Amino acid sequence: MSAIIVVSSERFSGKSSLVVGLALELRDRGFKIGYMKPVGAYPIKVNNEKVDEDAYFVREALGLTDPLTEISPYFLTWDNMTRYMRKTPPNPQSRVKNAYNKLSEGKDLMILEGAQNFLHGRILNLSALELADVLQAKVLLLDTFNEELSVDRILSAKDFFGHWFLGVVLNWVPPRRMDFTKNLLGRYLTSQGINMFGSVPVDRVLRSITVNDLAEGLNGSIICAADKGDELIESMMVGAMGQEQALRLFRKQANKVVITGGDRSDIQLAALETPTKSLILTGGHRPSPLVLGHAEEIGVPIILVDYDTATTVEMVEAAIGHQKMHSPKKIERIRGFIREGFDLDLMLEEIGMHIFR
Amino acid sequence: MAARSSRLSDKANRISESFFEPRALAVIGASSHPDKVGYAVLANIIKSGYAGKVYPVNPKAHLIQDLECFHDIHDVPDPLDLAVIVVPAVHVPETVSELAGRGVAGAVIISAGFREVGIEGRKLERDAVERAHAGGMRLLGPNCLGIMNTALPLNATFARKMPPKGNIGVISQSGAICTSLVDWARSEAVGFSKLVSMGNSADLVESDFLEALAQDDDTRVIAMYLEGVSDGKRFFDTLSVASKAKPVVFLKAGTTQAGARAASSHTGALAGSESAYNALCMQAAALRASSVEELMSLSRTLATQPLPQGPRVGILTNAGGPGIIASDAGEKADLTLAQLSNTTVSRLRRYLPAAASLHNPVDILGDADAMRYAIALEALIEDPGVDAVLVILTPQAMTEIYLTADEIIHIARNSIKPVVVSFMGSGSVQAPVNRLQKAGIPNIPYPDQAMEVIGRMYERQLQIKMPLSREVKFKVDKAAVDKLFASYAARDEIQVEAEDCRKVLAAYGIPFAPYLNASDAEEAKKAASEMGYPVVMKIVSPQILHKTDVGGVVLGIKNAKQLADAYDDMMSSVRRRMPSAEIYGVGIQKMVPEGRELISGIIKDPQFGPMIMAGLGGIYVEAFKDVVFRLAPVTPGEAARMLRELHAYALLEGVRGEKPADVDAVEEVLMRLSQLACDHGALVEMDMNPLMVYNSGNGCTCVDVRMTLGG
Repeated sequence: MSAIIVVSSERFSGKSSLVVGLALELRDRGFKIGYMKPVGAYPIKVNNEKVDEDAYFVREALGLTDPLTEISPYFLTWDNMTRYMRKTPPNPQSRVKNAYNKLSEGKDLMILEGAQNFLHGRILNLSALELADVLQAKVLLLDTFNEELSVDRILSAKDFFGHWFLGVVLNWVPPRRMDFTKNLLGRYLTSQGINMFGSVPVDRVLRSITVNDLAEGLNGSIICAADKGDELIESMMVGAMGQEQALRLFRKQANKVVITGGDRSDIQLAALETPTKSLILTGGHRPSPLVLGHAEEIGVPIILVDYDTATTVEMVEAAIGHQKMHSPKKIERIRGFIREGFDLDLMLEEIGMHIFR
Repeated sequence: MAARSSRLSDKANRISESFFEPRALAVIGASSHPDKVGYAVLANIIKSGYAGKVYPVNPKAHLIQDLECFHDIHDVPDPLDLAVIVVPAVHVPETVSELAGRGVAGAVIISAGFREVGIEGRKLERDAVERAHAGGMRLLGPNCLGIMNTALPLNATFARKMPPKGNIGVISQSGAICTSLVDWARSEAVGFSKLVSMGNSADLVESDFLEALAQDDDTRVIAMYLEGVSDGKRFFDTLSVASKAKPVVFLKAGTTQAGARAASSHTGALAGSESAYNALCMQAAALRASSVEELMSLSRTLATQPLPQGPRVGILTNAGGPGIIASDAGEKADLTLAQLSNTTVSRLRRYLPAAASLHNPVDILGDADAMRYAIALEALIEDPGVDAVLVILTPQAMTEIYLTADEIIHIARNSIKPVVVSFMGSGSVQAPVNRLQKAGIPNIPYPDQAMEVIGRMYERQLQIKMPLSREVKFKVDKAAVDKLFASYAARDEIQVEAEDCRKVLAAYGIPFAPYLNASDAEEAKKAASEMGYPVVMKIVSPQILHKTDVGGVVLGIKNAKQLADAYDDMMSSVRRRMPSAEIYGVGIQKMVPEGRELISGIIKDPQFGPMIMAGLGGIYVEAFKDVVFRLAPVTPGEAARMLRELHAYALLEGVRGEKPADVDAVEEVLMRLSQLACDHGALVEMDMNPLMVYNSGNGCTCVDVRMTLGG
């Protein structure tokens, strides 16, 4: 059995997505894949148990049945950090090791997800380097592309992880820099003895949020075209101007949600005329029946919320910034990127699994 | 039945026959309860004197309003041309099926409870239309007042009364406006030929009835009340054709932001922009009224008076003040005060008192009797320098109001020039005014408004005389742009990149300053030497919209050394000020010489499709808002008129010894833009600012351009 740990230099860099994509692709090749996230960050409550949010979704996406407490044994919230500073918990490494042993039973490959960055977890002796040592896992770096910083970060990561370092994947690469990462940067890293497995471009779909998730986050109700709840929203616009200005503005942004008052039929219709995935009507006002009927007809869900516009905008901004990946469309998208842009064969060879092929 | 013109198109013919001249009709949901709509409709049909057969249908009655009632549509013995449906909305689709099954050609659905109440209602409405079409039947409404034909006569509405018989055809998207107009028409002795209340326009729309009325021999003027149109392109075409046959006056409500908001929740559709409706009027040669009052006074004057052949108005008054008011209004309405001929002046001198003013406005004094009015009116009409006459009467002690009205009727009836009267006041003039109006002499009580109406009549005359201008097709590379735009659609991107924008301009023969993208300093240098110095360098980044603010624009770069320095400066400046912006590189553009700056572009209107825009450009666009629009396609005639409508046209002609600008080149750009807009529906917005225009013979060049796609 082999193990890799996916780490990043920044948070929100797409580790969970990469883990799901890799796991599903490898599973298609016949491998049995296990998953664990030893140190989590953002807990949610599932069946009265606190569990890392990302870990929960990866588990769901992969259809695993292992107990959540084993998959995600620790999380480092501020609250926990202060507690651990007062009293160090007894041997977290062995608790992780035990869970890992159970989770990896009968598996060909364990994919571990690192904490927020590769230093995070050190307080529990569970930073990425320590985990690599304890679990004999190779470290795969997911680097959020930055023209000026990426190269040095990657070179330093290799120095830091030493023989555990497996290589790097670049994420959020602007389309115009894809050629650069594949050619000049790829050649340079190879010459430095670093495996460059691939690069994933900036992708609007992966940044997006579904209509259903947005409605849920806003405690809103979808009052028409509910069958379009899986549609993905990439951006947000607010409508408080005249109809003609609204139309001009709304045309400039595709796949958006438009936030406006329930009494502004003109804005609502202007939004429906342009590439809009959903309307959020604030203040609890219902739209005109004519607008409602039109929206239903063209399949654009209307979300009714009780908040005022300013509050709604804040909430939607936060929701679109911190996107989740658990929509089937997104998972398919990630798999597509891995099939096209990730050198799986190279990775399998590097972790000694190519012989199974 | 009235004989119908052979010019009728088949479609308009069928609509006219079944809706305006049914030989037999059924009222589905007829009632004997006077408080029910089903009662009012049947009662109105009977009261209107309709001579065809009428069949009330109601499963619960045997006799309604003394007519045999049928329990089922299938029981009605004879063929039916029209059905008027007043049953509850849920039963309408089924009723429509049954009627269509019987081969009924048309139905007026008065019942409400459809699109206007929400999703379920919308489904019912759609269902009814589908069932009608499956059986070859057409629908008016639902949610409408009904239909009237005063000539037949037939009043299939629930309005209280019928208007007098006349020659104004009315189409209205508001049933309430219909009932008010009918009430007003009765008190003002204005005659209508047909009246159609559109309701939700689920099947037949305003264009269908516009087409029918354009070909209706009983209709001389078409008056429309609109909140929006169902299909802008079709309305434009229909209106253009209809306006050639007879004047079409329309009132479009919802012209302000507040009005548009009210209209949008009333109609549930995005109305076209103000600019689009103004362009529509101009190009289709229709007349737009700005108030219900103007809609009616203009329609009624057009329906009763000949058009003035020129702008010269003769004003006849018995008081000085109103004459001055009328003169002011005339000038504002682009009319002129007629210069009376010597013959007219000496003729007036012979009959009028010495104190009278013999020049226009002709003031026949406060003591003027009917004879003085008659003499002066005849003299004015006969003056070859007068194209129209306004007769003002203020009721004074010596004024013979009745006799004067009779004299005017007598003279104006035989006049080939329009005569409009303004009997000021309402009490003592009311009865004589009624007599005038019945005789077809329009009275507009305020002289300024009367002048405005004469001004609009003259506008109509100019529209008729406007030379026909046909669209010009240029040789362009449509396929290249199709391919380019398809690649954007495939990537789900809507903002066209600068370099691609230039490819589009090149494909459509629109001159632009050379432009190349460069991803680093080396490429920038290469691009600049290719096009030749001096050049402009601009940052290219999707996040940076205001390039100048972050040091992202450098003008007048003269050589490679300056270019390299400028590149380094720009990168540090932009990086410092917008560290998170994604920088694609820079754009290198050839510096163009100074010229006169215009703006031009395309905006797609939600109802009327692409509009072509031209205006004063540069940094003054927002300040002066000196822009004009036309619906595409733009003909050579329209392109020329567009530029001449601009206040900035004076700049193009050249001020203070400047040479005139190359107006021909700009007109050609407008037509090429029009072709681009018509060829590519995906292009929803395009701005060329500035479009640098040079002296006559030296053309024009687009300096900066933006395009948005959206379909």
